[in-house]
Amino acid sequence: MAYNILIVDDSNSMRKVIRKVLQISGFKVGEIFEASNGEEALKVLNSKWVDIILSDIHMPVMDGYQFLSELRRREEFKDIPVVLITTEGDENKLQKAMSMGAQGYIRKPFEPDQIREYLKGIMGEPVYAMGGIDEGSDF
Amino acid sequence: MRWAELMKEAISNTLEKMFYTLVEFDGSDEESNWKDKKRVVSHIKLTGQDSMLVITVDLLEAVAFQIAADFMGVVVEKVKQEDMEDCLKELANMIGGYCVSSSKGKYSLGLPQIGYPSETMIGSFCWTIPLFILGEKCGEVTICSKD
Repeated sequence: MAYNILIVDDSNSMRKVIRKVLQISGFKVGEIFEASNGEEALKVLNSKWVDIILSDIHMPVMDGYQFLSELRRREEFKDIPVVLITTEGDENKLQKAMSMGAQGYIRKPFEPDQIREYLKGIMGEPVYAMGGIDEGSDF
Repeated sequence: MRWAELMKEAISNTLEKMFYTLVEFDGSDEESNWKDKKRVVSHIKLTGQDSMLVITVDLLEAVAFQIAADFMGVVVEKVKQEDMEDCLKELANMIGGYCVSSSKGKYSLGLPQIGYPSETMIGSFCWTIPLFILGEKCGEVTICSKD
């Protein structure tokens, strides 16, 4: 099974980096969607099938907390695993996000292996070693 | 830990881990005319209950483009102006996040912006940390604290 992943981050370059990490992660990744804030992400979710969400917290328009809260409120999205990739340094706020249903969090700056470890918990073992196959990039 | 030491740790950690850039804090800028060259600036505000910190990252534009290229894994010629500015904001964001973490949540992270902060920082305490790459001065990071 290939997993469709939604990346939510207001930084275009950060989205590109995470996309690249996913493409070389060794997991069976299906489509990768991008959104620059929670509101845009909800629009993507309304029209596309998404298995996993990787989301930033500090974003304009709708931040990660509001987005998480909206996801958990809506029956059709409440079971989608969400991993936060964030610069948030306040442990209390991160714990609040966990209590709102985030699967886990990765602090920026991160190493690609940290994303891979979280994905392993959700997607199981990768099908090949990281960096083994480069499925191309749209850089 | 003093802010200057904390900032050095935050800058090294961020630049090495995410931007693949080795930076030094000691060197001489006597022969460098880095301030006369084209530069780019980003900043981020950290708001506390009764105080505010502003972190400003001031880099040579050429270095900012190179850092963006390393971050995104592309050759420098492919980096657009908006990508470079985006990366510089991310750099300020990550340094700010490190400071919030080290302050044990005393401050809340704002959104990073391009340019200097609009607020006057008169009456604040500032520490400036010079940045050198391979002995050449390439920029400065300044942290200002205001009550």
